[in-house]
Amino acid sequence: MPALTKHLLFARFKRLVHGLTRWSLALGMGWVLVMMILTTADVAGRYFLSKPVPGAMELSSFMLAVFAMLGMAHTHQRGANVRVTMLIRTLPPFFANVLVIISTVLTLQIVGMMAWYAVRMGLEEYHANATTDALSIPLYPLEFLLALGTLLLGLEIIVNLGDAFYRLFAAKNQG
Amino acid sequence: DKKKINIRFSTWHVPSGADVQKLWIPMLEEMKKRSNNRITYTMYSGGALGKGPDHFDIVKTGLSDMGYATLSWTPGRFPLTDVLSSPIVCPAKWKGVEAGMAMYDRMLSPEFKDVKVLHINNCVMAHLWTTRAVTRLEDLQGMKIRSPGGLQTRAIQALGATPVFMPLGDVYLSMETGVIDGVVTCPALVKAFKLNEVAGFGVPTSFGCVSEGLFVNKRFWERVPEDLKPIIESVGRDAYKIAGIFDEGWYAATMAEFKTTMEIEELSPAEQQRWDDRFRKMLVAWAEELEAKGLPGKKALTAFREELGRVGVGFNACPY
Amino acid sequence: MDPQTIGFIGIGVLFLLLFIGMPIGFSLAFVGFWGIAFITDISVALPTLVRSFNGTFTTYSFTVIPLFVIMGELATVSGLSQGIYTLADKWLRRLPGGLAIATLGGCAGFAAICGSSVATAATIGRVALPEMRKYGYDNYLATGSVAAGGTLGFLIPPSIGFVVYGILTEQSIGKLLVSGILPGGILVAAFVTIVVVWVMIRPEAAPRNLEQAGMGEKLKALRDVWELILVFFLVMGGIYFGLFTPTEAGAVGAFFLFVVTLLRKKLTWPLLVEALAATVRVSVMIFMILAGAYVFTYFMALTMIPMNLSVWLSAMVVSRYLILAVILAGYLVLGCFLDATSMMVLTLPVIFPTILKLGFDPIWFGVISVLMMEAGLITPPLGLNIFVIAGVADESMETVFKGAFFFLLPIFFVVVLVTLYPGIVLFLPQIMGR
Ligand code: NA
Ligand code: NA
Repeated sequence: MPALTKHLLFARFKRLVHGLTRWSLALGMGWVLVMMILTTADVAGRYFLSKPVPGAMELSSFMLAVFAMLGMAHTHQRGANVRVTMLIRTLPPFFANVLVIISTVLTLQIVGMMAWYAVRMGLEEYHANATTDALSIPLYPLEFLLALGTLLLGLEIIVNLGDAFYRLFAAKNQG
Repeated sequence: DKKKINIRFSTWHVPSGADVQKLWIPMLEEMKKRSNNRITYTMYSGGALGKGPDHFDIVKTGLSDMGYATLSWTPGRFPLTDVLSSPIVCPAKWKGVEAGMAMYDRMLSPEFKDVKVLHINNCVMAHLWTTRAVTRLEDLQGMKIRSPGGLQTRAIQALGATPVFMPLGDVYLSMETGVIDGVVTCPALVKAFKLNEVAGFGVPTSFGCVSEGLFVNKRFWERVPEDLKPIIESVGRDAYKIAGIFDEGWYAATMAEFKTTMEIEELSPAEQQRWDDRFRKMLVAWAEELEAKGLPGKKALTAFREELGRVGVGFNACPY
Repeated sequence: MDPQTIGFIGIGVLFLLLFIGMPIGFSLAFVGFWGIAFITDISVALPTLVRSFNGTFTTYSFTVIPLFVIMGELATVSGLSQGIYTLADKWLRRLPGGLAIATLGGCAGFAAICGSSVATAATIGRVALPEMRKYGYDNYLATGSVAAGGTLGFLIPPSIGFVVYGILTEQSIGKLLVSGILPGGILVAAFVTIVVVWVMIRPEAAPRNLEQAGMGEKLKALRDVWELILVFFLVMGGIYFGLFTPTEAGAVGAFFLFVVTLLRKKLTWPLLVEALAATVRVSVMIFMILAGAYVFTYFMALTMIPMNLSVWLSAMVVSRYLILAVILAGYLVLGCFLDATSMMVLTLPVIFPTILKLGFDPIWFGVISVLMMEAGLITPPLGLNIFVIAGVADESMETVFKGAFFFLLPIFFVVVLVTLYPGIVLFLPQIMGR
């Protein structure tokens, strides 16, 4: 039964993607606490010891990047990316699903392009030796991190697309 | 060939500020005039096409055709060009361009393979602006000073103060309320961000200033009609002379204006000597770091001193 | 095709994509990307796209967003947001519509430490709605007061709205935050007035709770949230007296609440994980919109539409207040489709130079635009607060919209008042800034 195999494959793919998303969230989300402690230490050091943490700002921006880029897939999976659902909620399921598929494909296009080009820019930046000012941390890993984050995001969007197709055929079979 | 061309010009300078109104627009108008209106332009100021540090890449990738970029804001990308931000005493940008372009021809051009360079230079020298009087090195100990980055950070550290980083927009309140004790920046930015309202004191010793330049996108340059290229090259290189801004006269007038509300005192010669010693040590460390990476840091400093000499600019802090 | 035509087509496509339910950040990035590609070249559009996202995720000043969000999350975990509601209830419950007023008071108090309107509405809603139900409050009044109260989070400092405004217009964020205090207080009073009038017209909407809370109970409620009051003075005082920058204030406030939560022994592992995950969702949602809006903004700049529009608006030979009215009406319409953050990023580069040219004060305009964006949060068809409350209360969106509708009046009232008397806004920042 090829249909069933396909079904199982998709379910397995979906589980895999959600698993990756959870891991990525787990690796990223704690950095906001580190950022909080580091900045507080920086302020305290500046006042009580006249000794700010060197490069605290740079470290904070790096942590922000890790925190947010690794959280993109999770945010999308939980439907937190704001959208207008007024039309989709009022249309019959079949048409609503067609619209969802269109917008999901367009979203996938932009996210996929970003993942691919971030790798290219990462390589370019690696050769240009760009760094931060105070701590001379190389900047190219940020581009690769963006590529990773958008890649995971893209996988979640493919899951959305699969779900939408399932719903589309379900709606068709009923109607 | 009577082809026309439109230049998309980008800079992060604010639309109403002196840089846009009195430098870039007059420069572009001059290009228009000399080409009999065959060169036209569109101005994207205030970071309309991207944030400050992105401006070199904005030109490089072609989002704009021509633009101003601050090179010190992308550390590591132009390691030798950092020599332009050494603590030299240079109140006129056109002199900076002469020395900068001589350096470009001698040794810096490999760092600019991705763009067409119209000019590179150092910005008008940065001074120290503080909320407490500073007359000696000892006064600086433990003071928190906002740094523009690059060699100026090293200079602040060398003097025994603590460099602090924050967006220039936050400096006003931070100085007013004591989050920081001072800032190292050039008179133009003091004026633009109204820092003269909050800094009571100025030390007009040069810390050097950011290195910067005017660049053209390479693909755009290929499209420029051959007979217009010399116009763009010469007007671009002489932008400051043509606009008649950021020269000795402008510098003197701005400092005089500041003096009406601020205490601006020169260091005594003996004290200046002590500061120069610290700067010299800082430059030695910088040059040795470059040499360790296989870059001619020492040669860059001596070459820069020679070229500055040709336009009558002093470089007392030069260690070699 | 000339850039301006491409620009107008782009705007049309953007509205189409938003309408068919494409997430806002991605719609902006998609249209911006292809717009830049059409006007210049795809090799230009690609790095611009990546730069916009990478830049947003690595901008130091944006660290303030997750820090303010986690401050609110920690307040919930530690039980302080429940406590601030109890406080308001004990002190205010004998007034007509007392619980609704208590809800507004709770929102105002919570808004004082939380930067996000949505978070304020959601947290107070979770606590207040069951209480109001218990006492037989009308659904419109209950949901409306929470949705409206939540918008206070955007005006009463610290506020993400002012932070974004300050970043976009290069105004001092510290002054902006301080300028929100007085109008915020007036708006709270105006909201309370609406509740009182509502209950006077329809007494059955809010059965009175005559059970008197004793002085001891009142003081205990106050004691229970002293940490929150301390955080408020720490954060606001710290910014006002310049102990730290607003970005740092977010970190210090969050750190303090983190310690409080630990000391109260309320911080379990699952609660911390959920608080962090929620912080990720709210922050990334904002970042995606900001990044997409950057791409779209660069596209708009290339089309020259914003510049031409600005020239056109400034050249209008009518009263500057008429132009202001046109701009504010525009915000209300946009507020139907966009959330406040994306609205600011999109319109301010166009509108702000015009506002300056017309001689309006930039700080004052910050308050006015934040007020209009608050209105946008509770107007149909898209109002983030409405969605959140409908979710929390398990009510239909129509109910919440109807309930919130009456709370639009106080917002407009404050806009007019502040326009007639700009001193209300400018007084505090002026004594601060010199
Ligand atoms: Na708030
Ligand atoms: Na709305």
